[in-house]
Amino acid sequence: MSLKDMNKEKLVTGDWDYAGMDSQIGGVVLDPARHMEAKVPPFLAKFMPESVRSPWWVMFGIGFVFVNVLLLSITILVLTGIGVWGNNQPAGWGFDIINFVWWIGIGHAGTLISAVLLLLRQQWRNSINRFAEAMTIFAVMCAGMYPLLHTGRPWVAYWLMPYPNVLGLWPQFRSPLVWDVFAVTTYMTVSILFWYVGLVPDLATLRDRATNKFARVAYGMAALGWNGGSRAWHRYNHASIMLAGLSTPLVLSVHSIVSFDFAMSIVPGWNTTIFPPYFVAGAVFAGFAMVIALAIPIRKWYRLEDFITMKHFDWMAKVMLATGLIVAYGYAMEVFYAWYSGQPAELALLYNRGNLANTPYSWAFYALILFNIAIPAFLWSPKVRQNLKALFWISMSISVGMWFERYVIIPLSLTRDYLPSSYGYYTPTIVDFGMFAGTIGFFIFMMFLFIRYLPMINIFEMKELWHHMSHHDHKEHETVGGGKH
Amino acid sequence: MPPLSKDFIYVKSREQLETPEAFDGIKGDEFPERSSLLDIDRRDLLKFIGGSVALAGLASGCRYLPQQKIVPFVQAPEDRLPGQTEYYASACSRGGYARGVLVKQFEGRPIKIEGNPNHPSSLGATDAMTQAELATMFDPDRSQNVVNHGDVATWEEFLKTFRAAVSQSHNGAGVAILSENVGSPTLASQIRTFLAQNPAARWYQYEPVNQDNALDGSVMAFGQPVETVYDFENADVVVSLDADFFQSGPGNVRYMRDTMKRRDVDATKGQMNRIYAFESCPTLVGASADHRFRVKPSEVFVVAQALASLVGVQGAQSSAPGSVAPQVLQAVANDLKSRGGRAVVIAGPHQSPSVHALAHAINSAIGAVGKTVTYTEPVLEKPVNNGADLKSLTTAMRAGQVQALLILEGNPVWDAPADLGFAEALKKVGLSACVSLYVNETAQACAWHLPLSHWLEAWGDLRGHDGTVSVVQPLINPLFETMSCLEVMVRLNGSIQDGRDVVAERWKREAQGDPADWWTKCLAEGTIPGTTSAPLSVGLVPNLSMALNPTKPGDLELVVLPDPTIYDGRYANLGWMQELPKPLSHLTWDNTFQMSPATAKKLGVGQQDKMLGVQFYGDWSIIKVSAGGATVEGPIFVQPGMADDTIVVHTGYGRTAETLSVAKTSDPIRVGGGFNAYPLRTSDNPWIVTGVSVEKTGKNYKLANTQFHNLLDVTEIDSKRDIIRETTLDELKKHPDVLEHPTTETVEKAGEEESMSLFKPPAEFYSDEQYQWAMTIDLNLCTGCSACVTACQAENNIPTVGKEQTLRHRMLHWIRIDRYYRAEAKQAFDENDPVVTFQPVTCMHCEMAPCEPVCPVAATTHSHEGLNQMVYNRCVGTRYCSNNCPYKVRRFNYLHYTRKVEDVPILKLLQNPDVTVRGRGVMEKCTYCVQRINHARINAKKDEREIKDGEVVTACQQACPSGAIVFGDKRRPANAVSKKIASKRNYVLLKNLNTVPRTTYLGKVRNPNPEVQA
Repeated sequence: MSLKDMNKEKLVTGDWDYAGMDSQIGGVVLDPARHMEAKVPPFLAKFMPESVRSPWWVMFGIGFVFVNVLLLSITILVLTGIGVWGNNQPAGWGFDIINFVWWIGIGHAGTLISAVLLLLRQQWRNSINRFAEAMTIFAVMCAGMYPLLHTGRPWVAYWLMPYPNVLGLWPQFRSPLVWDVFAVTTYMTVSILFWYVGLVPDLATLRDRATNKFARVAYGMAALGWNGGSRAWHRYNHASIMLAGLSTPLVLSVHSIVSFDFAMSIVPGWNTTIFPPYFVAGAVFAGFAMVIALAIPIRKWYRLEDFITMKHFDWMAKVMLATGLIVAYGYAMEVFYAWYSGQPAELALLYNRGNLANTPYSWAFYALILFNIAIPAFLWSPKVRQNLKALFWISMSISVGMWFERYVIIPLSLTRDYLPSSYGYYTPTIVDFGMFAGTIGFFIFMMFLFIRYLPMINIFEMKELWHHMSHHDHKEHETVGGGKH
Repeated sequence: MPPLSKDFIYVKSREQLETPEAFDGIKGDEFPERSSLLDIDRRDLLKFIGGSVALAGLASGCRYLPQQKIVPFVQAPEDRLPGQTEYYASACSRGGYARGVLVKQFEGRPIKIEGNPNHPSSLGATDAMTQAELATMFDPDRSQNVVNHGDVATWEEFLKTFRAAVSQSHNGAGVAILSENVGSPTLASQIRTFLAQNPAARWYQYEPVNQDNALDGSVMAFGQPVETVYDFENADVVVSLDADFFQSGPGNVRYMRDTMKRRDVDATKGQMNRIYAFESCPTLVGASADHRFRVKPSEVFVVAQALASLVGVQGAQSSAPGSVAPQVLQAVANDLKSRGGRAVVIAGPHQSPSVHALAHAINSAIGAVGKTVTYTEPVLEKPVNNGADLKSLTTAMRAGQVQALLILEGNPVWDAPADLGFAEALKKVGLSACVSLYVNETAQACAWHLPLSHWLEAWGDLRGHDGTVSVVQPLINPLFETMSCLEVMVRLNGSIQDGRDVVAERWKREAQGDPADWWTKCLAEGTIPGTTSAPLSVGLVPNLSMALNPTKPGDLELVVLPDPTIYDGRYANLGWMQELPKPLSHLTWDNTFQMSPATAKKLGVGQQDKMLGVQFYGDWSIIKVSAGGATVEGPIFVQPGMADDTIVVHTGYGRTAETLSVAKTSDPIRVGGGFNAYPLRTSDNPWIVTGVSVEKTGKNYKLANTQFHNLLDVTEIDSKRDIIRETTLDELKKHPDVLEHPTTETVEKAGEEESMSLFKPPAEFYSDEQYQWAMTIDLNLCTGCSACVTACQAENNIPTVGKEQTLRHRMLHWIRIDRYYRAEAKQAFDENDPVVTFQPVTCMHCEMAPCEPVCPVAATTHSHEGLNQMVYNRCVGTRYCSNNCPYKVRRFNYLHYTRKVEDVPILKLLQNPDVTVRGRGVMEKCTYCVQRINHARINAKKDEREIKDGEVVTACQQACPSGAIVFGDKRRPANAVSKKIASKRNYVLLKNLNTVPRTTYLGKVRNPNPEVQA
């Protein structure tokens, strides 16, 4: 497809009526046969009974196995102590905080898509927002496990919450970790609310179309008595705009506050004012990468090509490109400030990152540059942006790269700070990897449960968009804006 | 003999019955400080009532449990207050020489060993090993029973058997006693009584780490054995010939204090001594030295001879050592000669008698005798060559001439020179018995094992390095059915007196005035007045040089030395000593074949993983070293500062007795334990072995290093970090503030920065109305001996974590000694011959502490007295404080390292009751010994006065032999710490971070000889 064609590409393609949209999207939930349509690669199919021979079952199975790995890892951790991880004396934090920040970052795209793009009246968000919001919630769940479990005594981790108690003790509000608690819990609450409010009309659709009595009752209860009347729509629109208004600052604040965990400290390589914007950009970068990485296979498996079009991918790729450049700028500035500060510790850190021959971690730094800057640079090319295979692997590269970013920031800075006598090295253990793989499994597990039981694309917004596109002249949808006039 | 079960605890003594209950309440208690029933809240009270009612029914109905009752004293002993600690003077022995101590006692159990200020060998300080003696006392692996051929027996049975054997013999023929070096006059007199009763019986003496060469050297020089006592305080120049007199040997603590006193630039008004060290392996003396020369062990003799010739010893051949330039030796000789006798040369105990004789000759030639060197009668009761003595015993044993052998301490089966075949010979002895603290290798090989009382449990006496007698006073009744060597000899002599009476009777004879009062005073002071050896006037034998015997050089020389932490193996079962980083290598849990980088390269061995950061976990090659017919496999370690073509190996590791649960080497990677180096020793060359061959094995081994072994990434950047400040004496005299402001740039900036800073500690917070605690650490006095580390561990209940956790770098020491190799620039750094500087680092108690604002639950807070406090109960363990600490002094309980304390009753006795035993998941760090501050505060409040200067002495400060650590209230300018802070050498570590630490450092000053430098 040429660039010119690309610009003409619509946000919804194909020939649909409203009922067709209901059954195409809602059918994924209501009709189990839809999950059996896509094929499993033959090498896997050999081992699978016919009743579960579908991508959904494969992904659900993988998720289930790793949820168990997660539970096992957590059990070992809580029974034995943080010592089962690789954390050590100079490196008080390791995989725990790396993964926390990584997951929080992934969650960001959801909020950005649902809130910021809603306020900016970007209609292209409608196809992906539900799905991205769900991703946000599950990613924040994964992220939330880490700060809780990384404490030496998780059974008293609730002390980080401000609650009245007989000791008359409050958390220490100067600590960025307490800010984290507020930031993450607020983020989680608002994300769930926003997601659920957005689901209500669709739940009502499912209620109305369900043939199974149990489903009808369940969706009916969840739909909170939605009747589709104009009063309900009026309230709905107000609620979603208000929640979008609440969420928008969160997009900036959550990751800024997470970055304060580092920026507020005096550890070389952490104490940097560029961290908040650079972390937010990095989060959007990682988030969009995850949305693309999930959207590509799901779109194919559930034949949703008409709703998630190449135009969506093109724009998401452009967002990634832009945020990736901000991140690259952040890296450049880190290097510049280290040099400009003239501080021996900062300079030594720079040396330890950059000198490939003589330092233990420089490979991680160069891996980060490769995965986060070099490979995503291919997105400049429109051809790459329209090649789903390339997009998928670039998104994967970004996910890996963003993980390395946190790896470079955390153990590298901690193991090489002010006194060379306290230099150290961080080696993760099998439990570290178990926890990490376990949270990924949990994420997949939850994502596929979501796909099975809730509409992954906003049905009514698609209908609205379709209505809009088919009743207005072509200029209107070329500008894509418009929204609800 | 099958191993004894460790599961049994035999309770006999009052103390043991008392204390477990005291701890039962604390076990699993969230608030162990709860002092009385009144502190229990309503819920707990109800729980207890419910629980006790339920259990009362259960316990009485279902099973029998031993009833244990604690009954208050009907008549309380005078001066005894519950919860109050008391000090008793005592002494412990190493190598037969006393180390005077004061032992802190709490409710009838010793909890901390400190130096005795009245004792000449201590002057109030201790070394690390003496601190660790407490852990031997409460070692769960200590032997608790008399064992005969693997069966539990009784003392009566043994005494009956042995007495029968003695009486059956003809005048004691075939009866032998093998003791360690005996420095106890009373024990010696009991042995002599035994020998008098049985004239044909023999007394032999052996200890693997001994003073044989010094003794033989004195015989060579003076024709008679004499003890050499040094006065380093009066020595302007000290020349060490491979002597580590800071680390081991008689009087090491005293010698360290005296030597370092002369390096306190401020107190001595610039009259600093100068130390030259000619040594084969890096030692503490060498690290403190102004000039250090790497010399092969055999070449030390050549150096000594050259020096002797240059200072004018008659008949000394002038020789030219290869490794030291002639003009350098000339300069050293000039320095020695020009001091009018205020100089001293000291030879290491592993150097040959000839080197010792040459040292005596040099000291005599430079006029040091009577000024810095005094000769006295030997301190040891039986001044004989240990090696020769053991050889004659073994010969007699092999010839079947020994029917009954009583071994009083020691472990010859394991540590005797390999060529003697002691273990084989022992099999020919009909009745063998070994008195020892543990069921060690020798005890297992003997027919009888007799459990020894710890010196904290038994009476005795000991002579210090200068002959002064101190009383060994017990602090506690024996925990098990044990006896001291003295008591064993008394029993064998047919007496039923207890140790106390024997010792008192012996010394009351020399009482001045009322014997009872005099004796009480002796006990209180710890020393017996008037027992210091009188100086002996001895003359050098003529033609000394004819008798000299040069050390045979080898292509590759091996030195076998006692380990810096576990010594000859006697401390091998102590986690404290195993985990104490060796001062220079910072290795723990293992011994190694150490060699210089150049030698390692030459031999083609080394570290397998060249990656810098992986050094803690680095794989080191295992090599096979063959010497004197024995082959030993062990890992190598590249130690900068070693002489080339020299390998040093430390003894004490590789224990095999199953009873030693900490030391044995069943699983070296996890447990550590090293390899046994004793087989490499022969009776002819116990210390310096030539004819060494090295073979590669291709295998690797993990060594647990607590710090980078090497700063090979010395970059221009690192040199700008301003961590250690160091200058020379001349420079300091020219520019007194050279250490305050190391560069002119900082002088200009300093004033400006301080006035412009927006971030100043709140003045009102640290008001002058409260104590303001501060500490200074004088880098110029610190020798790196690590006594402070163990003292802190003993005082603050710091658990050991084991080798595996050390490999993960999770040690818990609250104070650590950082070792830096000096380099001006990367190009100028010779990794084979670096200059070493030590820097003890502990919590700095920053006024603007970076750890405090980041704690989410306010578990670490600041007191108005300037203490950075850690609230264990509140800590949730996010470790953010540790991340944000630029000094990295915080320690985290990654696992439940104190579980053993909960599970093993005897270990509870080891814990300091004033300090919380920390559980899993909490952060901990130096508290400035807040329990000691509070103790002083209570005393001061009772007297309605202010805490006096010197009343609070932290554990590290107390132990420090060189007085490098000073602690106190910095408000009063007259206080010692304030004077140190006012010194021009005082500087703040990482000042640019504006942490405003309360602990500051005094810069290091070296006093090089301009002639040598040129």
